[in-house]
Amino acid sequence: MELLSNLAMGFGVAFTLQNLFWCFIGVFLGTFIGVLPGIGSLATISMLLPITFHLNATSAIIMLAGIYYGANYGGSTASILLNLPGTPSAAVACLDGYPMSKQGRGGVALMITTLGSFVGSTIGILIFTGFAPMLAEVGLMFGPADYFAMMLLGLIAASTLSSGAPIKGIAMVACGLAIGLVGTDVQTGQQRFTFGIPQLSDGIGLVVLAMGLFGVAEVIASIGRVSGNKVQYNSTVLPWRGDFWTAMNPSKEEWKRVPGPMLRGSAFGCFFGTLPGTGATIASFMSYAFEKKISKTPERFGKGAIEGVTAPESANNAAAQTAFIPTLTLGIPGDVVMALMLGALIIQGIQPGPRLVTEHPELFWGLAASFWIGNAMLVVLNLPLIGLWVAMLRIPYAILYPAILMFIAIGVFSINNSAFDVYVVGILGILGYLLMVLRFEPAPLLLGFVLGPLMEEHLRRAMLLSRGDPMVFLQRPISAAFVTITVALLLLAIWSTVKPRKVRNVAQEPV
Amino acid sequence: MQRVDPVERRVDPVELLGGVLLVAVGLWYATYALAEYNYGTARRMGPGYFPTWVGFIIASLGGSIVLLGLVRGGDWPRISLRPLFAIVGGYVGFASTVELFGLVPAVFALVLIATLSESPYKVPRTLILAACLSAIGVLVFSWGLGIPLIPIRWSF
Repeated sequence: MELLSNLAMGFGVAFTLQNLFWCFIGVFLGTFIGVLPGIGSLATISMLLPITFHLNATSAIIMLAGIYYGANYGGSTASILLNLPGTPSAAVACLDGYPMSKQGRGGVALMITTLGSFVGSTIGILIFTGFAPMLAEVGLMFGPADYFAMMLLGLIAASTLSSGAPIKGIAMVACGLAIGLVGTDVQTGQQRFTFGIPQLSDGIGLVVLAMGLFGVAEVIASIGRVSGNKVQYNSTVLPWRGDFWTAMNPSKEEWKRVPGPMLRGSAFGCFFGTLPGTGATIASFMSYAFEKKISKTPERFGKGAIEGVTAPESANNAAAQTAFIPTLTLGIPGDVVMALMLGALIIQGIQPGPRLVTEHPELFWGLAASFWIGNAMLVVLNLPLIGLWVAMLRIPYAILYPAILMFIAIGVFSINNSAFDVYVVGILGILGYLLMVLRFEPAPLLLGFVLGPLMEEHLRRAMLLSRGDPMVFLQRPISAAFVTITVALLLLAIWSTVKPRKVRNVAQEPV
Repeated sequence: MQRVDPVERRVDPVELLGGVLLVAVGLWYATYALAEYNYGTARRMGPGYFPTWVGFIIASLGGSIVLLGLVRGGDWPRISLRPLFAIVGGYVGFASTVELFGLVPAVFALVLIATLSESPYKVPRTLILAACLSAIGVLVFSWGLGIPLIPIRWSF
C-alpha cells in the first residue's frame, strides 16, 4: 500500500520533537483564540506569519494549520456556553448549543461537539489523504485558461456566497486584484503603482496587508464596541461545577441521535471544504438546514436539539481539513485563511500546485499526519481543560488589545527590519476600518490580492496561446465548466440582490 | 437614537459613499494604468492591460452599488475617531522610534499612545502594561525566536 507507506513517512516527520512542539503550539493557540470572540484565526495566523519565516516550511505549515482547525474546536465552546460565537463557522452552534446549556446540558453539548469535531476531522483527513494526490494528477492537465477560469470561480464563489451583499464582495475582490498588482510586473519589469517609492517595488506584503485590514482595523472597531465591558455570563450554565464527568455524559437516547448527523455533517463539510470559494462557515449552515429539513421533529431545533450542534460542528471541522486540498494541490485557496497558508508556503520558497505532493512529500504527508496528531491533542485540550478556556474569557480587552497591537507591530517590523512597513500597517488599518464602517467585507479583498498576480499571469499565457482569442475559455472543457458555474453564481447573486428588497427593508427598520 | 420618518430615509448613505469612492478609485486606477503603462494587445498584453480592466470593473461595480443605495434607506455610518487616531498614532510612534532607540522604547511609545483611545487614561496601569509587554516582546522575539531586534539602543 503506497498510501500507508506514505502516511508512515508522514508520521515519521510529524513525530519529531520539533514538529510535535509546533503542532501543539498551533492547536493550543487555535483553541485559545477560537474561544475568545474578537480575534479569529485570520488575525492570529497573520500575526504569526513573520515568526514562521524562522522555521522550516513543514513546521511552519503544521503550526499554522493547527491554529486554523484548533480555532474550530474552540469556537464552538464559546457558542455553547455563552452564546458568543468565537469564530463565524461556530455561529450555528449557538442556535441549539446555548439552549442546551440553559437546560443544564451544556456539558453534554460540549462532549458531543468535541466528538463530532473529531469525527468530522477524521473523515476530512481521510478524504484529504486519498483525494488530494488524485486531484494533483488532474491538476497537471490544467492549462493556463483552466487555471484562470478556476480562480475566477473561486473568487466569485467566495465573494457571493459569504455574508454581506454579493456585489460588494465582488467589488472587494476587484480592489484586492488592484492592490495585488502594485509592484514590479514579472513579465516586463515595469514598476506599477509604486509612485517612485523603492519599498513598494516588491509590492505590498501579504502579512502587512492582512494585519492592517484584519488585526488593526478589528482592534479600532472593537474598542468602540466593548470599551471596558467584561464578558457577562451566567456561571450556573458552566458545566464543571459539581460532578464534571457525569454532567458530560450523554443519555442513551442522545447517543442514538448523534451518529447520523455526524456523518451527514462530515459529508457536507468535505464537499464544501474542497470546493474553492466555500468553506467551513457555509458547510456548517448548510448541514444545520439539512438536518432540520430531514428531521421528523424539526420543532425541537433552536430549543436544544442535539443534532443541531452535532451536524454543523462535524461539518466545519471536516471542511477545515479538506480546505487544504485545493490549496495545496492546485494552488487555489478556498478562503482567506487558506490564502494566507498559500502565502506562507510561497514565502518559504514552495509553490503549491500539482507538483507539491511529489516534490515535497515530507511536507504533504507530514502535514496530513500532523492533522491526526493535532486533532487528538485537541480532544485532550478541549474536554478536561474546558474550565481554563472559559476562564480566559475574563481577560479584559484593555489588556488584550495593546498586546495584539504590539505583536502586529513587532511582527511586521521584523519581516524586513523596515519601519516603513509599520507605517503601511497603520494606513491599511485606517483603510480596513473605513471598509468596515461602509459595510464592506475585507476578506474577499485579501483573496483577490493573493490571486491577482497569478490570474494576470495565467490570463496573459492563455491569451498568448490562443493568439488573442477569448473563446479559448469556452473551448476547453474544464475551463468551460468553471465559466458556466461562475456565470450561474453571478446570475444567482444578481437575482438575490434585486428580489428580496422588501424583506431587507423591513429587517433594517430601527427597533 | 432619534426616530427618523421612513419617508425621509429614502437613500442609504453608507452605500452611496462606498459606491462613489469605488467609482473614483476605479476610474483613477484605470486611467492611470492607461496613461502610464503600455496597454498592448489581447494576444500580447502589456503591463497596462489587466490593471485597466480591473479599474473599470471596480468603477462599474461602484456605480451599481450607488444605484442600489439610491433605492433603499439606511442610516449614516458611525465612526469612532478617537480609537482610530490613537491606534494609528501608536504605530507612528513605534515606527519612528524603533530604529533609533530600539524595541523597548518603541513598545512604550506604541502602548502609551494607543491606549489614549480609552477614557479615563490610567497612567500607572498603562505604564505597567507597557513594561510587561515590552518584556514579553524582548523574550519572545529577540531571545525566543532569535530575531535580531535590539532591545534598547543607548548610543545613537
